[in-house]
Amino acid sequence: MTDIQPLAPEALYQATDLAALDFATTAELPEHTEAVGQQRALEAIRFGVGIAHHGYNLFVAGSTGLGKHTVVERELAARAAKGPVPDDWCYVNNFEAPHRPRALRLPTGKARALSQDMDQLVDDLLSAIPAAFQGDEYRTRAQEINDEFKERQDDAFLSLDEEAQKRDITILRTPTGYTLAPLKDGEVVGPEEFEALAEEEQDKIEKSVDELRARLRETIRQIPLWQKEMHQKVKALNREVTDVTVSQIMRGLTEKYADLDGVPAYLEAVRQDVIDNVDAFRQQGEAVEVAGRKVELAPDFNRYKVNVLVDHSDNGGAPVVHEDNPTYLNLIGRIEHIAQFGTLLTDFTLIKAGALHRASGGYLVLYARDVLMNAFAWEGLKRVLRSREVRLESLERMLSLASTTSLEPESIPVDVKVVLVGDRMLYYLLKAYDPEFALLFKVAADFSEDIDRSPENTRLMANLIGTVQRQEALRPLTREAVGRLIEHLARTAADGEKVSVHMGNLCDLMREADYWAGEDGDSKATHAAHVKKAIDQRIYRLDQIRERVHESILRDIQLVDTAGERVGQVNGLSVSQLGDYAFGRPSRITATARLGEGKFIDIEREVKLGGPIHSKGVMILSSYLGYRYASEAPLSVSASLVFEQSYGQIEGDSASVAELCALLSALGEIPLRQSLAVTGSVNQHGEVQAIGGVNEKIEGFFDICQGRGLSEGQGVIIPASNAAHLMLREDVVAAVREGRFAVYPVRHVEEAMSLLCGLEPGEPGTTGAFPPETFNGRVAARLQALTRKRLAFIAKSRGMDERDGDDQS
Amino acid sequence: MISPEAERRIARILLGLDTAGTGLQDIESILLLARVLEAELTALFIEDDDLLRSAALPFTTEIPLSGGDARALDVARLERSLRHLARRMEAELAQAAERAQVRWAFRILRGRRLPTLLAEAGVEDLLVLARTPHSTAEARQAAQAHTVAVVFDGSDSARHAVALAARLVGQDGHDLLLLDVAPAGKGLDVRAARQWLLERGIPATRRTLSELTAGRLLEALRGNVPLLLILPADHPAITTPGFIDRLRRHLPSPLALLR
Repeated sequence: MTDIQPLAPEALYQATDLAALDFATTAELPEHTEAVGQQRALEAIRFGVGIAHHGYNLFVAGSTGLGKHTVVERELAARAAKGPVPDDWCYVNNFEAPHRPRALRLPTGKARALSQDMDQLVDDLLSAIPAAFQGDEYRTRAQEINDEFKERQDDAFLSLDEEAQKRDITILRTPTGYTLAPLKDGEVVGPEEFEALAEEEQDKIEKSVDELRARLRETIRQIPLWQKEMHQKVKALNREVTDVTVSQIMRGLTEKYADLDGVPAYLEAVRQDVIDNVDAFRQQGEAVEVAGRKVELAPDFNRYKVNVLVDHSDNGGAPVVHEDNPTYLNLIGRIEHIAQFGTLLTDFTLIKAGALHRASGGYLVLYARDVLMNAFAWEGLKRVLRSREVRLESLERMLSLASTTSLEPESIPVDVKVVLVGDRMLYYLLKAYDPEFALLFKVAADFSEDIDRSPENTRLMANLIGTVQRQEALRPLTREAVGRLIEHLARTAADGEKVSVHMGNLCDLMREADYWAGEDGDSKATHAAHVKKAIDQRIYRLDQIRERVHESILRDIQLVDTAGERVGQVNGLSVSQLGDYAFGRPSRITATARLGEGKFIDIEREVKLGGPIHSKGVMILSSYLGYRYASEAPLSVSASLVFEQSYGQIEGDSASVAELCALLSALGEIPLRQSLAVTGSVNQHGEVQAIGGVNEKIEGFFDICQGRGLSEGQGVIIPASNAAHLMLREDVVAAVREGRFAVYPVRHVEEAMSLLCGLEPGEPGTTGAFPPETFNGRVAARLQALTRKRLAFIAKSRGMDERDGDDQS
Repeated sequence: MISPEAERRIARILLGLDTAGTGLQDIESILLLARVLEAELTALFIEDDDLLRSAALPFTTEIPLSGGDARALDVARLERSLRHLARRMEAELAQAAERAQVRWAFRILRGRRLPTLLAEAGVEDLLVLARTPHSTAEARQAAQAHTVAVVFDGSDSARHAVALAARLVGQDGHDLLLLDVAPAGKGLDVRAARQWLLERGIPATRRTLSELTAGRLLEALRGNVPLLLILPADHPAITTPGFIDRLRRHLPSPLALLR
C-alpha cells in the first residue's frame, strides 16, 4: 500500500510563536493606529482624496468589519484639518420672483452674521417706522392732506346743500344712496301736498330737483377721484418718510457688507421692499376670527430673513460629513412646508440643506448600500456629481405626483469629494451595470481581508490589540491571550498562515473575553483562557443546529458509519453555513454500477437538488474513468451517485473525491473503510484539489467519531494543499497526538483510494493492463467484463434481428 | 356747583341707527361705554318719515353711492330695503353685544329722525349717534383719539355731561376738553366746572365758542378729533336743521346727547 503518513499534531494547528511577543500584557505595548495590512487601500485613499480633478471620487471596498470606515474617517480628518474652510451659503428672498429664492455665497461666518443683522434690522424698523409715523412732522403733514380732501368734499356738499336749501330742497340718505326731496316749512313735501301744488310750481320743483340731482351725482363721482388723489399724496408722503427712516437705519448694514458679492444688491432690494410695504411695519398685527376664536395675524416679515443653509463658522478646516441615512432628501436637501388653516405653505426659509451642501468644499462619506437602498438617492447623487451643483427639486414634483406651487431655488455649486464605503460585490456590480459609475468613482480602495502571519505582522497585530484594548477601556491582555486571539484570527481567515484583519470581529472577541475575565473575578488582565471561553461561548450560543444534526447521526437516524467496510459507500463531508457560524457534517455517499453505455447518473442533479458546480464535479468523474480505464474501448457501465438522506440543495465540488472513491469501489466491488471521511475536489487526471471549510469538515467527522467513542484508524482524508489551512480545535489536535484520530493529506485520488481500501493502486504494465491485485486492476477487470457482456449482448440482439428478418422474407 | 346728584346713573344707552345703515361702526367702543356705565344698550332703528314721504313723490329717484345713473325710488322698495337693513343691523348688534356680554335691545321706530330719538331719550338715557368715517385715515384718527369733549352750556344737561365725562376720563386716563358755549353770567360757570374736575384730579382744557353751530364746533375740534363728543340734548342748536347731520358727516367720532 502507498505509504501515506497522517499529518503531525503540530501541523494541525499553527500556534502563535510567543517568543515573538516580548511583553507581559498589552498595557506595555505602543500605540498603533495605522490599519494593519491595508497599505494598498491606504495609498488608494490618499491618492483619491488628494487628487483634485472631477470624477475622482472614491469607492472603499471590502467586507464588513474590516475597519474601512475608521480608516477613511482618520485619513479624511487628517486631510480636512489642513484644508481651507469653505464659504457659507444662504438663501434670501427674491423680491422680484419670490418662488425663485436667491443663493448668496458669503465668506465663512458672514452668513450667520448677515442673518442676525437682518433680524435686528426688522426689529429696528418695527420700532423706527411707527415712531416716524407717529411723529409730529408726519402727523401734521398727513393731517394737512386729509384736511385738504375733507375741505374739498365738505365744500362740494356744503355748496350743494346751500344751493338745495335756497331752493327748499333737502338731500336725504337712503340705504343705498342719496335722494332729493322738496321742503315746505322745513318739512319734506308729501305726495298729496305736491299734488295740491300748481302745475308750474310742480314743474319748478322737478326742474330744481333734476338740476341738483345732476350736481349731486357729479359730486359723488368726484369723491373717488379726490380720494385717489389724497391716497396718492399720502402714499408719497409715506414713501418719503419711510425712505428717510429706512435709509438711515440701513446705512450701517450697507457699509458693513459693501464688499461682499451680491449682498449690496440684496440689501437695496430689501430697502425698496420695506418702502413698498411700509404698512406692514405700521400695523402691529391684525386679528381675524377663525372658528369663533380671535387669531392674531402678525405681519409676515419672513421675507427679510436670511436662511443660513451652510454655516462653517465653527469649522476648523474642510468639512467631513458622514450621512448615515442617505435618503434623496437628506443628500440633496428639502423644501419643507407648514400647514396653515389647512393649506400647505412654503417659502425660502423652509429650505433645508442636504449633506451635499454641508460637505461642499470637503468630503462626504456614505455607505454605498444605504445610498442604493434609498429610492432616487443614487441617481440624485450622481446628478450632483455630474453637474457639480445642487438643484433643489421636490421629489413629488420630479415624479409628477403633485403639482402644488413650490419653490425653484437657485442652484448652489458644490465641490465635494464623495467617499462610498461598501462591500466588494457592490463595487463590481456598479462597475458592471452602471456606466456612469466608472466616470464618477475613479478610485477604488480595496481593503485586504487578511495578512501574512509573519513575526512582524504578529507584533503589529499585538500592538493593534493593545490600542483597541486602551480605546475600549478593557483589561490588558496577557501575551498568551494575544497569541490566542491571533490564532483565532488565523482560524477566521481559514488559513494557518494568514491572519484575518476583520477589526469588527477582533474587537467583539476582545470585549467578550474582557467580559468573561470580569465574570471570572479577574480585575487585572484578560488571559488566554478567557479568550478561549469567549470563542467557546460564542460557538455554544450558535451551536444548537449542529448539535441536532450530529445527534441525528449518533442516533442512527441519519446513517453514517464510522467503522467497518462497505462497497460503494464513502463518508463525504460538507459544511453548513448559518450566518457567522459554520459547522461540518458527514454524509453518506453511495454509488452503484451496472451494465450500461457509459452513462453516469447524478441523482442530485436529476431531481434538481444539485447545483451546477456539484454537477460539474460528477461529470469530471466520468471523464476520469474514461481517461484511466477506457481509453481504448467504450465504457460499458452505467452508474448512479447519491448523497444519502440529503433533502436540500447540494452545491460545490468538494465531495468529488469521495464520490469518485465510492464509484471506483462500486465498479471494482472493493470494500472501503468507513472509519475515514473524505473531502476534496478532483480533476480529470485524478489530482486532488483544495476545498474550503477544511477545519469545520474535519471537526464535523471528529465530533461524530468522538460521540461514538474514538477508535484507532479513524480520521479524515484531505487535499494536501489544504494542510496549510489547518487550525483545528484543541480536542482534535489532542486526539491526533494520542493516536486516536488522523488527518491524511493526499495529492491524487488513488492515494485516497489506497487509504480507504488498503490496496495498492497499481500501474499498467507493458500490455497496458493493471496488476490484478491492485484496486485499479480490479476496477479495470470489472469494466472489461462488463464490456464483454455488452458485446455479447449486442451480438445476440443482432442475431435475433437477422432471424426476424428472414422470417419475414 | 356740580352737585353730587349730577353724577347720576345712566341706565340706558340709546344708539341711533339710521337709514344710511350707519351706527354700528363704533359698536365696540359703545359697548365698552355700556359696560363702564353698567347700562343697557338699546339700538333704535329709525325709519325716516322724511325719506318715506319723499319716496312717494312721483319724480323721486335715487343716486347710488357708486355715482351710477339715478334709478326710480318707490315706497315699497324703500320699505323692503329698510326692513332688510334693520334685520342685518340687529343681527350684527346681537353678535357684538353677546360677545361683549352687554344687555341689549333693538327697536324699530318710524318718524323724523332726530325728534324721534330725542323723544325717546329720558334723563337716565345717553343718546349716541355714530357715523361712518369716510376713509381709513379718518378711522385711524378716531381710533387714536384720546380726548372726551363736552359742549358746556351751563345747563343741567351740561352738568350731567361733565360728570359723565369725568367718569369716562377717570376710568381710562383720557383728556377732557370743555367747549364753552355758556353765555356769561348764566347758569353754572365753566370755571366752577373745571374746579370741580380738578378736585377729582382731572385737569380739563377749555376752549370758548362764541356760539354753538356745527361750523364752530368742527373748527374747534380740527386737529383734535375727540373720542366722544357729549352735547346737551336740550340746547336749542341741537334741533337746528342740519346741525346734527353736519356734525355726523364731518366728525369721525360718535356724538352723545344727554339731558
